Amino acid sequence: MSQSLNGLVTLLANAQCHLRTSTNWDGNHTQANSVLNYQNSKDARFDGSEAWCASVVDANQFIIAGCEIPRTFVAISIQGRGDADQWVTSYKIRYTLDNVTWSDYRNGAAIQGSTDRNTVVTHFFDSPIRARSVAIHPLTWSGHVSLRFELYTQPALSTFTQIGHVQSDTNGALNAGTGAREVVVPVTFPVTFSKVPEVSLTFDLIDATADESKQVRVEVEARNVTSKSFECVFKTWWHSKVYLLKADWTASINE
Amino acid sequence: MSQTTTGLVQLISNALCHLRTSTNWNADHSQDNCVLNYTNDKSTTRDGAEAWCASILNTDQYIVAGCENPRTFVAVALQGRGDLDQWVTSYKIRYSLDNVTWSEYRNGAAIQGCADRNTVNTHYFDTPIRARSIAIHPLSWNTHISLRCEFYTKPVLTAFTQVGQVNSGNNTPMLSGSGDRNVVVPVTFPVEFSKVPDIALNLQYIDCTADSNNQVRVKVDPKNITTKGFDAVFATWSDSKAYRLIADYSATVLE
Repeated sequence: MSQSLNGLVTLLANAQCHLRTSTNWDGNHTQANSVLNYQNSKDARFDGSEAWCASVVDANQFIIAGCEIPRTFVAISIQGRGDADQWVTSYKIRYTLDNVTWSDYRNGAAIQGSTDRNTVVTHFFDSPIRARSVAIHPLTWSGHVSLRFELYTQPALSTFTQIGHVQSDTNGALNAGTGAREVVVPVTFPVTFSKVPEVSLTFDLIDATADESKQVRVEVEARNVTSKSFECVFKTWWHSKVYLLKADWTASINE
Repeated sequence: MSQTTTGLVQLISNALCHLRTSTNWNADHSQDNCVLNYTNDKSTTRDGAEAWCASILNTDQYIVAGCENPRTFVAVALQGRGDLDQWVTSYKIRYSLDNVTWSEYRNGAAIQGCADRNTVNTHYFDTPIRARSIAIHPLSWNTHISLRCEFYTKPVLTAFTQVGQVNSGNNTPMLSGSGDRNVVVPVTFPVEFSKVPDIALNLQYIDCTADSNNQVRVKVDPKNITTKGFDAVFATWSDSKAYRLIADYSATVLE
């Protein structure tokens, strides 16, 4: 089954990670030029290489991409240097989720790399890697340790949550009469959400009177939820009565 | 109504975003020097340009600022190069929230840029842009594609949430007697919070006995909340009784 990069985030192209290298040939051969398909004037003496180029040519070189937020890494693409015959022919991958302990993908086994300047060679990880930082370690090369690359992740969601408290009136409309009765309490979020949140609304105090059939009926519902506010609706029905209800709300978005 | 950048976050100045450019004139003319009002010793031969300068002069050049957390972009400020007569006279803005799909601000229409080296030209977006990555694409320029810039966003709050469960146990003081009766169950958070959290603490299990007036009374409250934990206080009152109460808590810090 062939895999696809559709719908994945290109980390370097989107400036979503910080890059650190073991060494750079000089200031014009840095990770700043390392994104897949990077091109400039092709005169490296002028505006630098079309690749990251290490300055020490051995198997101790690496480039690390770091994100503050954990990501699910699906694939990596590697490419040679665009303006000279230099490319990495094999590499290994290391990664870390907690930025304390690092792991070796495939126990450090070599992954097939590039064989020319411009062909993009994509490797899909055996199973997606959950990490904050991922490193490419070139193992063999042609001409020089030089590469362009990209990392593909599933889109990341950020969660924003707010919590608050709300209560019905005491001995109010819910404590008399029969039939469906409700009390509406408007709630304004301390901070406006960037989109309409999900709201979880649950009881932390129930003071209610069962009816002649010993039936206790209480409900709380969030209604008219917007990014700024919602209505907390306390309810009872039939012959039950309610002296007081208190609820906590949790509102959350993922974007 | 005039708008202000007061109270907004300056992304580049605060080192909050990663910057990627299409090309750099060389390492001494990179995005490292692109923050608004960047000045150095004005000897470009040693410490570089007072601007980001592209190496290729066409309308395919850009600088991308990427943040891992979504931000609300309110304005962008543009400035010319500080140590030479080079500036961008018009530009367009592109942006992405999910880092998969990119959008054109104002459908790619040109925004007025600079007319000299040092005047700051601030553009307030028609409505604030919700994005993770945002790019300036120079469309016209005086002499060279060179610019200093800044992005202004609303302050970002990050949420940290922990969830757990707490049980009153059975055979507690709530099981008999009358008047205010409670049982206190201490809870320790799995991870200590960086400041005192908001807590939603609500009943998910109620086993109680109504009194002679059919009155059901149950509640749970968090007390003595610290960064490390809180006391879950399960209670009943008057003549009601409670056999067992179980609650879930959701604790969140926004900072």
